[in-house]
Amino acid sequence: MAVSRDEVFAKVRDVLSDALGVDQEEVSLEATLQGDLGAESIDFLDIVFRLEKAFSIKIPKGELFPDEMLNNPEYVEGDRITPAGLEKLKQALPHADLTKLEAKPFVSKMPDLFTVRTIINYVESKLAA
Amino acid sequence: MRFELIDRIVELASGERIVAVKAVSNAEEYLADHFAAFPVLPGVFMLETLVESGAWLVREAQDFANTVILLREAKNVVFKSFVRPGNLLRVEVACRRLAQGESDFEGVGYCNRDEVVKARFGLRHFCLADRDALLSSADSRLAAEARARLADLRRHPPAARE
Repeated sequence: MAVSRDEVFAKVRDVLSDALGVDQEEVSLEATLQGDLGAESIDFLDIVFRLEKAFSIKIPKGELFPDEMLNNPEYVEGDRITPAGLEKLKQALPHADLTKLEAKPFVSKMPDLFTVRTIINYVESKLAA
Repeated sequence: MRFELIDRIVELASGERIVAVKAVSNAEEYLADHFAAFPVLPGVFMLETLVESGAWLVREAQDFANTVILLREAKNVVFKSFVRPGNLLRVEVACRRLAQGESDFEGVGYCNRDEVVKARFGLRHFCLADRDALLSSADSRLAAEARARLADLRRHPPAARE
């Protein structure tokens, strides 16, 4: 049974609203998980679990939120993402738009990659597989 | 881990506002995994710094009457940037409501004058003797410890620039 993009959005909105304690109205497509919805590292774990349950998908560690990025000195140096790190992000997040980050490759900008849209794109790609 | 994040109280207007500082050190154990190549104070500890500041405001305003102060709710929590080792997280917390058993606050955390965290939160307070009269001696001890600790946190002169 194919799930429409609207249905995916509705379920993702429920997940984020529950996980982050925000009103559904705040969960707009372009809202960033950290900047707009107040997510922090512990929340990303919770979001992964809830998405797995909501969509009956398996999300391998690091596939949605690339854990390795911040634990590996090849990918992060000081406060910047290295070229190797940007490459790794491109491979890891084909569903994300990296143009802004490539222009300003600061680690502090990385959380902006994770918008509600990114999550929806990811879930759709998992459902289509 | 010693779960007391505030290192210094810079300002305290009784029952109204508190300004406190948490210094972030590479020696904090959780930084080893958060994250190995990019250590930053976890967001929950940024929030905890705001919460502990609110708790100190309550203790001082109520003369340490309530020995247990817990987070009741946190909302509109916004994380804007990271705090790295070697930096100070300076929090400014305003009390919006202070009742005997509950209080509400609005807080902002700064690092080098940039806003890094904001939240509205509520606390719940009580003393152990409220639950069990036999614990009143524990309350006395906790109150005395808190009184001494507050005096210590306020004792140091504020840094020239933070």
